[in-house]
Amino acid sequence: MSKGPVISNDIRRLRFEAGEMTQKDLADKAKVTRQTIIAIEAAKYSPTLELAFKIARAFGRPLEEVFFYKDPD
Amino acid sequence: MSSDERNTYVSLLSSLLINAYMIWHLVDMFGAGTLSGPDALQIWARMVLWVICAAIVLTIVLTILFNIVFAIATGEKSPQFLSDERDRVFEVRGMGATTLVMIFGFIGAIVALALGQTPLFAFIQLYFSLALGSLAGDLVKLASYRHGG
Repeated sequence: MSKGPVISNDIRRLRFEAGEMTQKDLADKAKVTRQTIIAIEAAKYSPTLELAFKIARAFGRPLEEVFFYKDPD
Repeated sequence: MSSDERNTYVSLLSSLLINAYMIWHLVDMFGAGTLSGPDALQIWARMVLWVICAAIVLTIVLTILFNIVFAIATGEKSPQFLSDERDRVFEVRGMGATTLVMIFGFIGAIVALALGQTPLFAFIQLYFSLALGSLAGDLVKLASYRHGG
């Protein structure tokens, strides 16, 4: 059984480094609701590959600098 | 709260109100013997059609009211009506629960008929399995919104 999120992310830090970009700004750039960004940031929801790319692109970073995969063991 | 989550609350409230009325009305009709005559199925069908229309109107009114109250409470000048992939994932999850309950209700109605129950009883069971299915779907969606997914 999984003990925590398999996909984590660095969105909070990247938002801070992007001049305190708000969750709403990021949501608008990725064309999703703010609630989805909140859920992804808290690792409560794993985005699709397409949305993950959109979020990474909003920061101008490659995907692997935004999202991380952990083995569930 | 996303617009889909708001709409799920509205759907839940609307179906609770409509089905509470439906149960109250059914008990009343059985008590008065209205559903004991030969035209019971016709009376039942008319009542269901009326309830469907009432449910549509009630849902529209509640959606408008809920959105107005939400806009006032949050101070949002232009509330978002955007739905995204997370909403769709929860929608599918809710539909799974709805379908499961409906299938059990359908099988239950067929079994009831096979055991000699009246068609009216089977139709009532079908109606309430649809209602319970919708309720289960809404609850699963709301739980998904609350606890993530």
